[in-house]
Amino acid sequence: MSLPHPIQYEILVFAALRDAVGHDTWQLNCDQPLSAARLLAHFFEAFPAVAGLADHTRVAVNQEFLHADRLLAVGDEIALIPPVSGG
Amino acid sequence: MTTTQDLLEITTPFDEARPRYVAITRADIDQHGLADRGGHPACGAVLTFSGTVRNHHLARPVVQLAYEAYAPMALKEMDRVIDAMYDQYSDVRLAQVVHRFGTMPVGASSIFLTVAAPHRPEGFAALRFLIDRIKRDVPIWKKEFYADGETDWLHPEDGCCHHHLTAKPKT
Repeated sequence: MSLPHPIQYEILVFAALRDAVGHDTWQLNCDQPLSAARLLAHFFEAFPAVAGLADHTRVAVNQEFLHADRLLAVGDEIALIPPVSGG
Repeated sequence: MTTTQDLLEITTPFDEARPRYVAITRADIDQHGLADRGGHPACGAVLTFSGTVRNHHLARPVVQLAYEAYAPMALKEMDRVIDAMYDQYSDVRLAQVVHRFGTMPVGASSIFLTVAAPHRPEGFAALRFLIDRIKRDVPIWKKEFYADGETDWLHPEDGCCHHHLTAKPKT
């Protein structure tokens, strides 16, 4: 029996990223807090089908884009924002 | 996360600083109502912009669009875009931004903006600032449904901003 990971992130995903995940959220388990930049890297390693969006996908935390990398807290509302096409 | 709410809105009235109306809605946009309410006694220009569903993309016939929104953030981001507009165009007296989401047919208005300014040059510039920044930063995505039955999400590279954190190294 494996020990549960102490940290479980739930990340909101949209549009082509959501289609790749197959669900509105992506769950990531890890042993220590993750930075936003590492989260991006993990995601696109896990879903190579959408790797073409990697350089242009932003991280939003608590409904605001991050300007610089930082550690993510489990209580944060975390979202991956692929290039937008509203308007 | 698709929102279960059909309307989210923010209103800042005339008698407060930087007045605005911001909304994200699943319903048809009331363009005439917004245009009628878009004026201000101190302004000689009311500019409006309607973004409409086009029937083609790169020569491929399009029959309908679906917009997906991260609605609570989209509302906040549109509000932040209006703040950035007021930072740059301080004579503007009223701005309204309404974005629709969900499925809509060719010809429908997916976004409607109004700006009231004392004179037209600043109004045109402020309106352009708003739509350009919305298209870059507001978390809403367009899915096209083509006449041949295929669908595609549009993820244009200019719908991104490397002032924000991305995996691409900042140059």
